[in-house]
Amino acid sequence: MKAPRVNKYLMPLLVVVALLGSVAIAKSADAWQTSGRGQVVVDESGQPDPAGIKGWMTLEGVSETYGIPLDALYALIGAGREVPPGTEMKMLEGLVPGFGVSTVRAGVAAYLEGSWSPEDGPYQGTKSHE
Amino acid sequence: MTRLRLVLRRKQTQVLRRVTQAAFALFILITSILHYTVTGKHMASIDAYCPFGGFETLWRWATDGGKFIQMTHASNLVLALGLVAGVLLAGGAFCGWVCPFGTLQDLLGWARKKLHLPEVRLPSRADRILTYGRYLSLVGILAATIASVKMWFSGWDPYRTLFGLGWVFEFNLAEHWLAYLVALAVVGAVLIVPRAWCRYACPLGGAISLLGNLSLLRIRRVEGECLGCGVCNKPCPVKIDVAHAYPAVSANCIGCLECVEACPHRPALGVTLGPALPKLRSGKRESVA
Repeated sequence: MKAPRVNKYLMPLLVVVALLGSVAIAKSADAWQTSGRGQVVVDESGQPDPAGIKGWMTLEGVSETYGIPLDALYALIGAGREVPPGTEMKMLEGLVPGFGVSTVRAGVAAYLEGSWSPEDGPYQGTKSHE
Repeated sequence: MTRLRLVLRRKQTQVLRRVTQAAFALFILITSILHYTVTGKHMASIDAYCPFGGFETLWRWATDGGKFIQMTHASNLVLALGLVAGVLLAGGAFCGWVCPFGTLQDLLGWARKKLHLPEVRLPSRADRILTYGRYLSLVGILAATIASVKMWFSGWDPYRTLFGLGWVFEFNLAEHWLAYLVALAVVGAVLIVPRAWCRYACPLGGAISLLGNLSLLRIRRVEGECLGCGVCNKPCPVKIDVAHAYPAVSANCIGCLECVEACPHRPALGVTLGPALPKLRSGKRESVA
């Protein structure tokens, strides 16, 4: 059986076209999504998982989603009330010294477990940006 | 004169390849920089642009009402689908032309030559055994991700560590020491063993290699035409024994076309159309039209 020879550039071309073509089709079908914005990560029991707190979430959103009072959340991150509740986690890094999203994740988890309360002062944990 | 033509032809293809690789790698790097520096507006992280994330999240998406594993999105599924289509059409050219981690490994290979560092060539038996590491890595990561419903591999994935630029924008040794250690180990290994990550550990490479056996386009060697000079083996970044491939080059091929360009006798080696599965077709001798 003869295997017909083709232009060698077809090899990379088809791979790139398939990849970018799938993106174009998904975009035209409104199925291209690069963010979990609006999606709440839940744990195995179906409860919102603090590990899913993201940089796009606002203080207000975290408070409502995870059931932590806004005052407790302010205490957890060590921020004053001058920071608006609509502020995104990502933007807090420039407003609150030493702030990190991973600290909020760990702090909210600690609050829900009962191992941290607002009286303990700002939660001390690891810092990371996401 | 013929030799000069060969060199020019080869150079042209490889320049095109480097430009394509650089474009994809730059896109990923710029995505990372924007993700860290732009505030007040959503900027996707590189996690959203990884086809392997699509493989990792597929199980949950299919069995849990279209939900995604944390850090993965619809974009990962779309890219995984595009990648599968591309591999079924044209084999592993994604690794040789698109993957930014492959580009980095090529860059490290170039650095090795410039720094006159030794290139370690593993014995062929050890090389063959280590190749199965990719399949182990693929199965292990997918199984652990399905079981934990988390991106089990992301914490120490060397591609994510290096191209995510966390080490630039939020260096944190206490928290990410394992990720840094793995990334350094991989960079060190690639400096002495060409494309070591691709050849022995890449889970996506494992998936591509498996699917590549079904690809429509393959590089084939025509035994009757081959001069047996072995020149095609020398430039192969993943050290495939092209000179003894019969009829199709291994599915581990990254489609860089270096061997095709290097071959001094054009009818002997080329990209051909037709079903692959060389092992299933043993006994039937093929020729390139």
